[in-house]
Amino acid sequence: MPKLPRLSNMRGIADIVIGRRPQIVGLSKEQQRALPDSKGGEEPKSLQTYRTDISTYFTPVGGTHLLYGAENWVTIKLILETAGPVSVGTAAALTPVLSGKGISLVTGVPYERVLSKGVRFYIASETLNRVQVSIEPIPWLEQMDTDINRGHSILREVGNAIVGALGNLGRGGSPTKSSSGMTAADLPCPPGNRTYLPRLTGGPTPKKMR
Amino acid sequence: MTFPQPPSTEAILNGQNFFRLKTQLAGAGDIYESENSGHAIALGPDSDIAIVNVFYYDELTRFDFPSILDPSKVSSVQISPERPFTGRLNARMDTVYPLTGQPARILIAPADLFVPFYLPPGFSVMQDAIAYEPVFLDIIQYFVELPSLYPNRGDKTYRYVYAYPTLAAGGSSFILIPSYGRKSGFFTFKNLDPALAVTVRVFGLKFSTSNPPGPAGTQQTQIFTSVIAVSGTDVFPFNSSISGIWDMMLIELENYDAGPMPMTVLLSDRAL
Repeated sequence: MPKLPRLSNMRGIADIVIGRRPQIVGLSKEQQRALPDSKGGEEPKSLQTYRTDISTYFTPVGGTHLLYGAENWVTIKLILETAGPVSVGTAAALTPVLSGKGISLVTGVPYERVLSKGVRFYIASETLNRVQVSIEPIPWLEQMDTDINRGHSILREVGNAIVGALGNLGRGGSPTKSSSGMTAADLPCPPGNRTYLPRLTGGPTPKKMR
Repeated sequence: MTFPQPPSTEAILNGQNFFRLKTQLAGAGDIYESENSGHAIALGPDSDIAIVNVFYYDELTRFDFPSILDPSKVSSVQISPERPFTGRLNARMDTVYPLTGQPARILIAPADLFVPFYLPPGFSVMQDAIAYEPVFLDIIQYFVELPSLYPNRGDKTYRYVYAYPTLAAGGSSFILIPSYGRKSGFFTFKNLDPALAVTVRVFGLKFSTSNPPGPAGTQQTQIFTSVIAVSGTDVFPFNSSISGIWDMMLIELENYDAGPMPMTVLLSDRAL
């Protein structure tokens, strides 16, 4: 009996069903570039995946400026140390500062927000101000997001494969084979008078998140 | 005036949560500025000037005078030792004051009158001498909200051992001391001259913008006089409810011959 791949993860399931690695389709450019197996070396910036950046930002006088471009999921925390007015937001043009296109920071009051992957965060002020900036990556959310995106892709592929297989059945075509060359009829099935309880087996040890 | 004045941005770059403008006044028309917004503005502890106007950009100025269109967009608040302003005043560097076309900074100007080189009536440049104490403006603009704000000017003490010698016999030596808004004080005089008795007079000065302007329009009133014998002493407790509130105090030493004459002047904002 041919050895089946371990059902260790979603990628394994996809390998069984469609016999090849899933193609990353239907994802945004930012999501694709964040995947570890994306092409072209588009790994997310490694520093953003594990290092917390803490700094003091002095607002340039006039105009809207990019404060942070989130390559990954991060939590950004801002504390205005001076009187402002300072406006922050995701719009690339926040001026006039008091126009309401962004959110005005309040002196001494922390402003905290989770920035999703791909978000660009802007800041604007007409005067010199001092802003405490703390940017903390969220590795677990990053991993979950990556897995979910990959899962979506795989499920899409699986669905396509099933639809294709059903279509072939309706047309009397040859049964779909797995990557090991077996059809559904070749797979071992328990007798009808016996109930199988699924046995929980340990999966691979997850990698330590940084 | 320190020129150029210290910029408020320097305070932010240096990590301070306030901007302190402490500068010696050079003239009655001095105007200072801040390019940063603040949550409060108050007199600093070393200010000789008691009343200060703070101007800021305000879109609502036209509503101050419903029947008169005021296009200046300038509003002002006045601060004094008992009355700081706690409220946000924005420096609007993104716009301009319409009448001048200048960026809408926060402007700071003394409301008290100041005559830089006051000479008392009858002052003789041939025989009299005068010393001017510098007049300081001390303003603190806070960049953060404060849980409470109760600024108070510090008491100010001037100590002398000698005054300027007169240029000729029969002249007087004067000392001019700022006393804007001071409500009480204490003057001590001790004559250590080995031979001469010295006549001491204290005048209160109230400057004026009336015609004729400048020193000629100034109210000068004598509030104390004493003849201090050799090795003698005298004191003058200043009480504003009796002697009045003056812009400056003028001390005159008559028959002074450059001998040691220890004097102490203490001025306070507290009323007696």
